[in-house]
Amino acid sequence: MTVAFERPSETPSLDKVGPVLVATGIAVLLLAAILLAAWLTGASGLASDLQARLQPPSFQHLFGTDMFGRDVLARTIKGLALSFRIGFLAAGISVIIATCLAIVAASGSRLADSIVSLLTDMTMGLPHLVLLILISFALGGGTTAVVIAVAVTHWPRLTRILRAEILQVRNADYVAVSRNFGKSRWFIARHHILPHLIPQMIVGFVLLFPHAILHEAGLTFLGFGLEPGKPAIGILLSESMRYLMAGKWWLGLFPGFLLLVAVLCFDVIGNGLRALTDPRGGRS
Amino acid sequence: MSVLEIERLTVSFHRRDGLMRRIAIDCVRDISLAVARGEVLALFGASGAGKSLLAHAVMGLLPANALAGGTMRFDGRVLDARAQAALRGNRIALIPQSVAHLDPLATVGQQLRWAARRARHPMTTPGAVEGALSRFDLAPAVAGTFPHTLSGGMARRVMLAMTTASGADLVLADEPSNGLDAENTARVFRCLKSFAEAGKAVIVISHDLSAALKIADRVVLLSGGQVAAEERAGAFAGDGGALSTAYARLIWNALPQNGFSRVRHEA
Amino acid sequence: MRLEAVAVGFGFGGGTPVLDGVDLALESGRISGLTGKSGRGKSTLGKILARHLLPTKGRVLIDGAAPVSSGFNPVQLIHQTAIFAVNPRWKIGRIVSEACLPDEALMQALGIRRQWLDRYPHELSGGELQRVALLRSLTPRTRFLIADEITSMLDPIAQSEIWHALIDVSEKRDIGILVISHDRALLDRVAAQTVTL
Repeated sequence: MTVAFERPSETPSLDKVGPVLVATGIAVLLLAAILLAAWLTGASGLASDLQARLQPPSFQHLFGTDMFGRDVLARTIKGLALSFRIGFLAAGISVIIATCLAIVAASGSRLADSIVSLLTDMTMGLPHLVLLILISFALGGGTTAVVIAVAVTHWPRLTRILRAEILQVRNADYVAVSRNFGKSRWFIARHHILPHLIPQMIVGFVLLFPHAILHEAGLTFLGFGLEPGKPAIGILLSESMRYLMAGKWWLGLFPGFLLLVAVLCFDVIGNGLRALTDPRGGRS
Repeated sequence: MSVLEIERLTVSFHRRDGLMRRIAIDCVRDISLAVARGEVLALFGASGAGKSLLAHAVMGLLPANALAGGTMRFDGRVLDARAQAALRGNRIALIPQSVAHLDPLATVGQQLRWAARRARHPMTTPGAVEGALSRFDLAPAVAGTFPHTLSGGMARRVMLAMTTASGADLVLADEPSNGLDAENTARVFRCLKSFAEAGKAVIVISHDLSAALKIADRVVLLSGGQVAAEERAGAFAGDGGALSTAYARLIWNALPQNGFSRVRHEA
Repeated sequence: MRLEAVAVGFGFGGGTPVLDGVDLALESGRISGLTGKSGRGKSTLGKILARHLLPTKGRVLIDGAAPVSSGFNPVQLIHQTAIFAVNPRWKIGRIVSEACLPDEALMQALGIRRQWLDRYPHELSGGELQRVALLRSLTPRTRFLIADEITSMLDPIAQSEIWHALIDVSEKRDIGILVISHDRALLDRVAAQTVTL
C-alpha cells in the first residue's frame, strides 16, 4: 500500500508538553531555591564590605560584588524572592478582580455589562506603563503601591475571557435542562459554570504572574516602584546601568538573566496549561 | 472508467489522553470505493459515520491534526496534496452544506464569475451569468443580490451553478437536502442528476436514505467509519429481498416508511 | 394531564414574529406530531412549551392553570444534538442522575449500558448520547416530552429503536410526547395525529 498523502501527525496545541514540563521543572526549582535561600540567608550577605567593591565573579562571590561591596548573588536572590511575592500577590488580586467583574458583567444586567465593558476598554486602551506609573506615584510608591498598581492594571484580558466563558455556559442547552429540573441558580453556578471557570482562572493566574513580575521590575527600574533601599531586581538593574560603561557587566547580567528565565518559564507553563485545559483542544 | 478511485482510505486523529499518552483514533477505516462518469453514488451514514471526513479527504481539506493513509486516484493519476490543490475548484468541486460558504461581501454574479475564472473558463459573453443561473431556476435578478438575502434552497442552487461554471468532472455534494423542504430538495437533486447525465461523476453525501435513493445509481452505506454495505440503488425496494447484505436490509426495514422494524443493533 | 399553548406568539423586537397566535394541546399518554417548513417556528414552539423560552404573547397552561415558573418542570425538552445538551465536563453517570437516580428498567428499555456511566460525553456516539439524554429527562415526575428532531441525525436502526422504546414508555408511564419532525413517514408511524405549523 502506498501512502499517497500525509498530513502533520501532531495535534498542534497539545503537542508541546515537553517544553512545558521542562519549564515547570525549572520554575519549581527556581522558586523553591530562591524562596528557601532568601529565608535561610536572612539579612546576611546584604551587608556592605567596602574592602571588596566592584569585584568580578569569583568563588567567594559567584555573581561578583557591587559598588558597596555587597554580594550580587545574595541581592539577586533577595530581589527575586521579593519579586515573586509581589507578583504572586498582584496576579492573585488581579484574578480576583477579573472574576468578580466577569460575574457582574455576565449576571444578566445590561447596565452592569456596559459598565464593565467600558472599564475594560478604558484600562486596555491606556498604555500599561503610563497607568502603572500614575497609580504607583499617586499611592506614594513602596511595596503596597506596586502591588495595587500591577493588580488594577492586569485584569482586563482575563475579565473578557471569563465573561465570555460564563455567557457561553449560561446559555448552553444543558443549563436550560438543569433549570428545568428545578435546580437553583446556586447549583448551576457551582456545578455547571464553575468547573469551566476554574481552569481559565488558573491559566490566567499563571500567565499574569510573569507579567506582574516584569512590570514590578520595570516600574522600580524607572524609579516609581519600590524604595531604593530594597534589593529589588528593578533597583539592581537600574544601579547596574551606571557601571555598565565601566565594564562591570556582572552587576546587570546575572539578575537580568535570572529574571528572564523566571518570566519565560511561567509564560511557557501558562500557555501550555491553556492548551491542555481547553476541552476542545485535540478532540475532534 | 472510474473518475475517482479510493483504495483503503484511513483517516485518524491524534489526541492526548491525560498528560503523557497520545492515542490515535481512526475515524475512517479502510474505505475503498470508486465512482465512474455519468454515475451518481450515494454515501449514506448517520452523523459520525465518516461521510464528511471522506469528502474532505478527497478535497484535501482535512484539519491539521488528521492523518490520512491509503491511495486515491483521480482519472488514473495519484491524487496527492499537490494534485488536490491543482484540481480543487476546477475539476473536483465540493458543494458545501450551508450559505456560510458563500462570500457574504460579494454578489452572486461576482462569485459565479470568480468560480468560472478559477477554473479557467471565464464568463466573458454578456448574459453568461444570467444563463448559468436560469439553468437552476434562478431569476436573472439573483445575480445582483448578496448571499444573505437568499433562502437555503436558492443558496444551494447558486452553489450548484458555481459548480457548473467551474466545469468539474467530479462533484461532491455534502448533505444537499439538509434544511430544505421537499420541493427544494427535489429541485436540487434534479440538478445533481443532470450533472451525471452530462457525464460528470457525482457523489451525494446524505443521512436521508430515501431522498438519496431517488437519484443514486449505487449506494455505499457507512457505519462507524467503515463501509458496511455497497448496494445497487434499485435493490432498495419492497421488503429489501434484493439487497445483498444483511446490514442494508436492516437499515431499509428500519425506515419508518418501510417496516420500522425493531432490531437490537449491537454497535 | 393536559399541556396547552394558548395564542402563543414569539418575536424579537420589531421584525415579523417567529410565532403568532399559535394554539396547541397535548394530552399525557398520547403522542402527537408537529411538522412544517423550516423557519416556521417549530423549535421555538417546542422551547416555549418546555419553558426554555418565555412567549412574548399568549400563555402555556398545564391542566388549565399557569404552572409555577420555577422548580421541577413536568415538561422536558429533548434536543436534536445531544452533545450540546450535556455538560462536557460531567461523566454520563452524573448526567443521568442530575434530576434523580435513573430507573434500571428504563435504562434497559433505552439500551443504555452500565459501562457508559463512567465515560465522558465525547466518548459516546450521537445515538448513545441521545439515549442518555432521554433517560435523564424521563423522571417519575415527567409528564410531557418535547422531542425536537431527536433522531434526525441518527441512523434508521437507532431511530426505530429509540422510538419503539419511547412509545412503550409513553404508554406505561402516561407520558405525552410532542414529536417535532420534518419526516412525514416517521410522524405517520409514531404520532396519533399531526399538526402542521
